[in-house]
Amino acid sequence: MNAIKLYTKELHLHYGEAHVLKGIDIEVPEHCVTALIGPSGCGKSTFLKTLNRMNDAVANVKITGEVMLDGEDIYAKNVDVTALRKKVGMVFQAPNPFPMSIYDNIAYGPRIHGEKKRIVLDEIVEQSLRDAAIWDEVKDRLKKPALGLSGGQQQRLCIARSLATKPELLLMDEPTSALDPISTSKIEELIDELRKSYSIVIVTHNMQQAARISDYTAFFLLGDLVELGTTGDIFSNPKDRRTEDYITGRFG
Amino acid sequence: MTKKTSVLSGKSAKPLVERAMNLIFLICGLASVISVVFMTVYMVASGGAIIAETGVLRFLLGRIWNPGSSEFGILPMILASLLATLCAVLVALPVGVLIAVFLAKLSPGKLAAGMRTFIDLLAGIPSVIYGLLGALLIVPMIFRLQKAAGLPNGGSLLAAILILVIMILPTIISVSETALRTVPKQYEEAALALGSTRLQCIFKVTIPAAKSGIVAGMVLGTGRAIGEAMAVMMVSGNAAIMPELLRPVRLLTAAIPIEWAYSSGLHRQALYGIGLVLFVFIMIINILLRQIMKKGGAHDE
Ligand SMILES: Nc1ncnc2c1ncn2[C@@H]1O[C@H](COP(=O)(O)OP(=O)(O)OP(=O)(O)O)[C@@H](O)[C@H]1O
Ligand SMILES: [Mg+2]
Repeated sequence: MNAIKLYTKELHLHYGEAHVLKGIDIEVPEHCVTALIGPSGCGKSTFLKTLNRMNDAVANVKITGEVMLDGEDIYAKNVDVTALRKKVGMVFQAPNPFPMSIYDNIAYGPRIHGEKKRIVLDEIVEQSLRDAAIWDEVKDRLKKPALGLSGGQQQRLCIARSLATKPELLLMDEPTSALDPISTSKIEELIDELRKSYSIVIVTHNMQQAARISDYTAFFLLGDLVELGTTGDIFSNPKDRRTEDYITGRFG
Repeated sequence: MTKKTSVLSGKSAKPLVERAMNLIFLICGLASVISVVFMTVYMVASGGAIIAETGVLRFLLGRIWNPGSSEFGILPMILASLLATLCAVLVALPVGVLIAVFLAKLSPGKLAAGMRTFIDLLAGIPSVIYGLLGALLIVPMIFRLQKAAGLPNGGSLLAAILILVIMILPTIISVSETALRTVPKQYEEAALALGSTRLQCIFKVTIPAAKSGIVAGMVLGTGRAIGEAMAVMMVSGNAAIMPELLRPVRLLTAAIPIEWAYSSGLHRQALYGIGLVLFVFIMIINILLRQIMKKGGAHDE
């Protein structure tokens, strides 16, 4: 088994009165794809957002427990949240490119982190777009608005934009739920490619997708992590009755 | 057996009410077009004569305004109007956008709501009140500068600029704020998730995304500034000399009401001429800014 990139211990999250995460203990191995599955409202997105501290801005949120990334507690007092988010990239459910050119979208991250040299930026833009398997489709229109791309292209552009800050861990929240089957399979191939250099946590409602692309699967239910195991085990040999019911479609 | 309904009504396709409404809308639309055309024709007809008689260039570029000896050069007033408007917009735009950012993004909800009410009130105050405020507060504040420069105390271009800034700020703030508020949340989420600080997110993503709305605020502000007569008349000293920051100036708008009552003959025609020049300026500025706005909008799509 690969080294552990990130783990959480007794992670609780409250939105005001609502207890949304109830003591999550999870391990995310390096250079693997970990899929989070579970019924709607069970806290998958919320959990994902605790990993790059996107929940910080929510009013009335209370988080306790540990989230350790490479042995550092990301909720420690002296954490630089911008550095954390540079290291932990995020791709959202709906493609959300900025209303600027394709080039400026990709260069945005490196620029805010201080990169000014044109040659370096050019190189990062090309490499990120290649890594996200969209370079050939956009190389002739880098100066054109990103919002002119199709939904599937926009999502790959957003993946490229995340890659441009050179993250180590990539969080993806249902990245293909708004896309057609062809774009979806392109992104699945892409994820398969990305696991070589990145650690990935992906939320998905699509069981086949989880089975196809992930090495590990975690099943969430009502704020609890019910079961975590290799994808093979979870899908063919689940230990918990509730996991079995869920993946066979008997509830949820 | 299922019952089938018919979609054919038997009557003419469009009901009478709808046709009547269409006619009413058409008439309203035509009325607005006709009034603009009529106004243009009237302005050209009444102001054109004196300009033709004096000579376009002598009228526009002449430096002496002396109706007594029939000298009608309005260059000082043109420059004063353009300078006052330009400076006022250049100052009010960044200040207004920053205040809008504060209201839309940074201030706690209650404070923002209070300030918003206040700003909306400011936008509705008649300009003569601003004129009084300017004459009582702003003009005397400039006395010291004028003294230091060895100039006589009194109204000045600077006072006109400041009063215009105050007058157009509410417009710029409220239009920009609306634009900033309507920027989709996903843009800001994406920016934060890439490691932007709150300020980077605002200045590099939110403001550019709200650009066309901010430009719209600027257009409205510019329109109000160049068309303002009463308030500037009360603070600018009204001497028809080449504009300098601390000396009195006369703006195109102020020139007309100042001399209207006692003008007659050629003199009165010259005031019509000034009206025509102002009219053309406002048209040009509107068309230019609208063009810019369209370009900004097209870029967003
Ligand atoms: N900002 C918030 N404030 C209060 N409650 C919230 C907030 N965000 C989410 N919740 C609640 O937390 C619970 C978990 O939501 P979350 O979005 O994490 O679910 P999910 O597992 O991602 O669901 P889905 O599969 O539908 O995306 C839900 O009951 C939701 O209503
Ligand atoms: Mg979700």
